Amino acid sequence: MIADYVRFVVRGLMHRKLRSWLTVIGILIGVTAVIALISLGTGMNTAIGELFKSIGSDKIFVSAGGASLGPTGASLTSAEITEHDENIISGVRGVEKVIGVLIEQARVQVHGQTKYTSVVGISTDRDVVNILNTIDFYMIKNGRQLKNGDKYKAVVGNTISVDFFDKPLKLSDNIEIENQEFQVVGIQKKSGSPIHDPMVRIPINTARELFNEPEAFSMMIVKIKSGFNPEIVAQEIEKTMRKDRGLEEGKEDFSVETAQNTIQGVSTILTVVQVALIGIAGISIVVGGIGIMNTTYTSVFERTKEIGIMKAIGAKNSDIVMLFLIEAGILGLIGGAIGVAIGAGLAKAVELAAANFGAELLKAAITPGLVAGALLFSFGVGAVSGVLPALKAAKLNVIEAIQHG
Amino acid sequence: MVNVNDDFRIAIENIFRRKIRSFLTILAIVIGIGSVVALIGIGSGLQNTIDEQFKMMGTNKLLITPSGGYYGLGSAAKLTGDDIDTVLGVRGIERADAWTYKLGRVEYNKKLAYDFVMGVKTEDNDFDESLKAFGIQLIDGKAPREGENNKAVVGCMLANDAKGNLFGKEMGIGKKFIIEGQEFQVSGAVSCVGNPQDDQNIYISIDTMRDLFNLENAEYDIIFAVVDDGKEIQPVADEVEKELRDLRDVKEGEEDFSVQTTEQLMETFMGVFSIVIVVIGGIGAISLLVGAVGIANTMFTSILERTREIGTMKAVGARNSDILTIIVFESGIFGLLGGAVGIAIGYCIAKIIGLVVTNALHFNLLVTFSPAFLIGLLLFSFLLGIFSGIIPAYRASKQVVVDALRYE
Repeated sequence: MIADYVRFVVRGLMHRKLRSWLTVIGILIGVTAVIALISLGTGMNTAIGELFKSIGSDKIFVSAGGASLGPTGASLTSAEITEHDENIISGVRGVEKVIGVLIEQARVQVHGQTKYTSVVGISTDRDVVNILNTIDFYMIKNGRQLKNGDKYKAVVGNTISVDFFDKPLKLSDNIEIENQEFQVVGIQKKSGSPIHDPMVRIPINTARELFNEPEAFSMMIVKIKSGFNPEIVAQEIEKTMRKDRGLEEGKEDFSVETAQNTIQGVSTILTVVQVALIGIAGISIVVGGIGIMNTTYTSVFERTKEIGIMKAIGAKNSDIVMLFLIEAGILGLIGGAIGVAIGAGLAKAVELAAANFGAELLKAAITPGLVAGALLFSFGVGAVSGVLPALKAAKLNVIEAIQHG
Repeated sequence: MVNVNDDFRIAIENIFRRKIRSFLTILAIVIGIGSVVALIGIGSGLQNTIDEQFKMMGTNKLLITPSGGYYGLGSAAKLTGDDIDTVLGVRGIERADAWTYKLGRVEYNKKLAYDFVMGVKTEDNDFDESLKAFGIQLIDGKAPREGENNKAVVGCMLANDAKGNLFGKEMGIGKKFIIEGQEFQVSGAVSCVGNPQDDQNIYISIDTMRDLFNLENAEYDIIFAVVDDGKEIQPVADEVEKELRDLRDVKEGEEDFSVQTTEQLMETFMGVFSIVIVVIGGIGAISLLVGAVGIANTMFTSILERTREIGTMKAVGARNSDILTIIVFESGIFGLLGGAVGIAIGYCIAKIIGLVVTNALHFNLLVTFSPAFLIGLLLFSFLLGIFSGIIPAYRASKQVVVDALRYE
């Protein structure tokens, strides 16, 4: 029975090739746009997840400024996190090590060329270095990590050594930070992170002198002991700091986030943007659906006589409805299939272009689920668009229909 | 022969003949044009708002900021008193005001919030003049005088808008509140800027600010310089940049500060904004493309149905160009009708969103459309319709009379 429906439908569509193609084009344009946006958006979310995963799920980040201040708040707020907080946090159950980090945008000179980039001060204690060695962003490609006793030595990110300056920067070259000369002792592995590849790392004490910042940290990375739940340790840290600062819950002037939280925060923003864009692109699918409705109305009109005859020889109303729903659905399905193919191609092209600009973590996510979902959805859009014309066809009066043109 | 009026009449009659089909074809264009109008309306509304705020600041201002730092990270470069003196020494500079700002812990009405606190100089008339340079003025009460370290002037939303502001209560003149643990009293309020952030600023004396936040003496976050009336601004800006380079002993292209005219700053903003509007408008326009394909489809169907009619018209003397004109007209009218209704709907949507945003979010979203844009868009939708109809029309006009008359 279904095979008969499909044969009838395909014959009709083939008969009106041009119109069918134009209808299909209407749907495929919208599906192309939506598929490209979804796969790139998902890819971007995954890329951000990757960034944080390489830091490790056993890390907690503490920074100044309540979460309510947003990302721009931290540098402007009067609230600070200091070495005092480092000590307090070290005492919390489940905390293995607290690494305070001081980050400043600073003037960096290499071979007489001046640029601005992030300069990061981190402790050079052996146990801190051991932890850094487990984090992708801080691993060393050439040379060594900083060690205790280093004063004017620096480790540079991969980008700094390769192409940040006109001339490449090699081991034991000199680099000037805020007019103070440093010697490069290590070059980091390429991590793909746009934050960590162009940074310069120096010992924390040197950074404190250089930037005239006796106590404060920009942020702290807390490594927790294995077997502890990061969420619970984070809550404990928050409670301890609140008590120390005499603050009520909800009025914190600092924020404690697990890697998981941070990913979720960023993902939420990305998802909102993505949904807005997909919504706008989705309008064109609605317009394409209207096109299907139009084509199906025309097709009902043109086949009035045929429908009359089918009814006269015993076709039920439901058969007629089914016929046109399938016709409309197939138009949607074909549009969806071609749209998925083009959209996926487009997303891959963007992925390649992005890789050229150094954003290698971005991978267009074209999953079987997405493809299947898109196909089902476009069939659905077609079928829904076909409902009104199909009902109209079913309601045709047999005698009038047979007499039709 | 058939004249243009007849062509037009025939086209209109044909549209009414197939009501459902025409309605759906037009609906598709309505949705496309409507979403483009609404999106661009809101986008340019945001642009208007920004434009308005820059104008308020005045176009004869220079903004000097330390560079290298970007949001979220501190910058090692700072502006100092020497920089102000250097700026003041440049010919064509009328005055220069330096400010500091911080997000501070503010307590009022038993609520705690972080709010922007601005440190402003209080000698002589400096406070009033500084505010003027920023584009606002004291509309109520008094500015803190030198040595008055517990007086503050507040933005208009803090002063008047209990529902909208951070503390849920009006912070009128005489009210007491706490910044970073120290008590202040409101001595005045300033005019509205039109965005909820600037309109909730708190302005205090810069000396008080330094004590309160433990800031280094003579360090500033921004310098506003006013250029003499009648002086051209760009040469003065270039001169300021050169003098500051000399003072700081840096080469061109390696500055650790930036000098921007308000116009440049506005252009930077607008540039970014325009890209966003174009991208969003472009995604919105995809549906317009789909609508155009729909018109083409309807026209193909319509000439197929009228094959015999077209044959008859030709048989009684209609030229190919008449047939072409009729069909192209018909399809142009689809575009025009869809465009007109779409523009009306998009216009209303954008206006409603503008009103809602302005009233609910305290952000002056001035949605305006230039008549030229709307007329242009109407013309565009007419052309879009014509364009979609060209191939079907050409095909129809080329039909051989005998074949067409025989067509079932």
